[in-house]
Amino acid sequence: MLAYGCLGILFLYAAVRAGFYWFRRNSAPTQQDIDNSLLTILNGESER
Amino acid sequence: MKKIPVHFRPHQPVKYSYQKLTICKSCQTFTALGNQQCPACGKSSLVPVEQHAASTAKRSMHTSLLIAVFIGLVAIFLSHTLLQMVLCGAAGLSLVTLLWFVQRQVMAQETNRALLALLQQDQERLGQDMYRDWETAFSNWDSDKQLTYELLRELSALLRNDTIRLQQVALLHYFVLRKDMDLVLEPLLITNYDPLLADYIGELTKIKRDLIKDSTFQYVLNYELEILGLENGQDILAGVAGAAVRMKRYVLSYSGLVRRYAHKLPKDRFLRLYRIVQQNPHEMGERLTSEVHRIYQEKYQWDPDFQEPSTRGSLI
Repeated sequence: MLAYGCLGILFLYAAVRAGFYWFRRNSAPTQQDIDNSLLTILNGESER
Repeated sequence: MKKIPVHFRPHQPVKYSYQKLTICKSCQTFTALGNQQCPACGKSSLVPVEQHAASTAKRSMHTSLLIAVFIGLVAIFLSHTLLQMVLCGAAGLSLVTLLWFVQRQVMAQETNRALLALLQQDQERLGQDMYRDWETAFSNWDSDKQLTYELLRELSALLRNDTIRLQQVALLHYFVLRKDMDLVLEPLLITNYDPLLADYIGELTKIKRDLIKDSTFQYVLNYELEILGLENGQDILAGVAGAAVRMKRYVLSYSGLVRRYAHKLPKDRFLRLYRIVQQNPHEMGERLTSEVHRIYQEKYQWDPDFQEPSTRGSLI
């Protein structure tokens, strides 16, 4: 019974992690976003 | 001033500025000068920031996988029968594989996320490291101008301000400029007028006029009066007008500039302008057309080159 319980926990853990990765991939920054952020950090908004 | 003949090291342009950035794995110092050793701790542990971010993302994902494997092993350990162990093992393996597969699919996005977090977490330090690099580059000004220029060129992908642009322009005046050199102009255009920049533009009109584009024409037009105040100002403006003549679009867009300095164009540039005006009589505007014809009548009426029909693409 404990074994199946652990399996259930594993299932929940894998499902939550996979769902977490999958659903937040759309909100991940693009390379251009990263570039813009870096230039803003170094030069401010006006010089970017 | 005697100019220095130089051969610049090949410049690797990058699509994104952060691709110039490296980070020390040991002390987390950033640098963009392409060093082998960290400028802060001296260790040879510099890696591109992208690589560092990918390692961070992978480490996080591996931790998740290890936790999943651990839970699967606990399930197998707690099984009473062989059937239970096999079932737990198979289910555990399937779930870990599924998790691994999903992680592979989102690896690129997680790396981007880790990279952005890396750059944002210590913004003050990043800025200080870049300005330290700038000071390092500038410190070679007296001893090695070529190296200073090359380092500033690398840094200018990240530090975009008129000061660093002017430093590069000032250094270029120390060098003998040649057609085969990897020269740029648009990234060096500053907000205000500077005679060194005007002079550099004048040099480029002789050796690399294809670098003279819309932003340069606009700059020259904005500061035409100031450029005329220079000793060689008329020559610079005539050179820019000569560069405009290489494309009909530029002649149309900057017809005023071309008209004002058409009389100073060398023969080959004027011939090209003359042919553009001849082939497009209704597009060029009355003032430019009449000025071109006036110069033709005055200087080239009997020149055989002007009597031949134009051959397309012969003169750029």
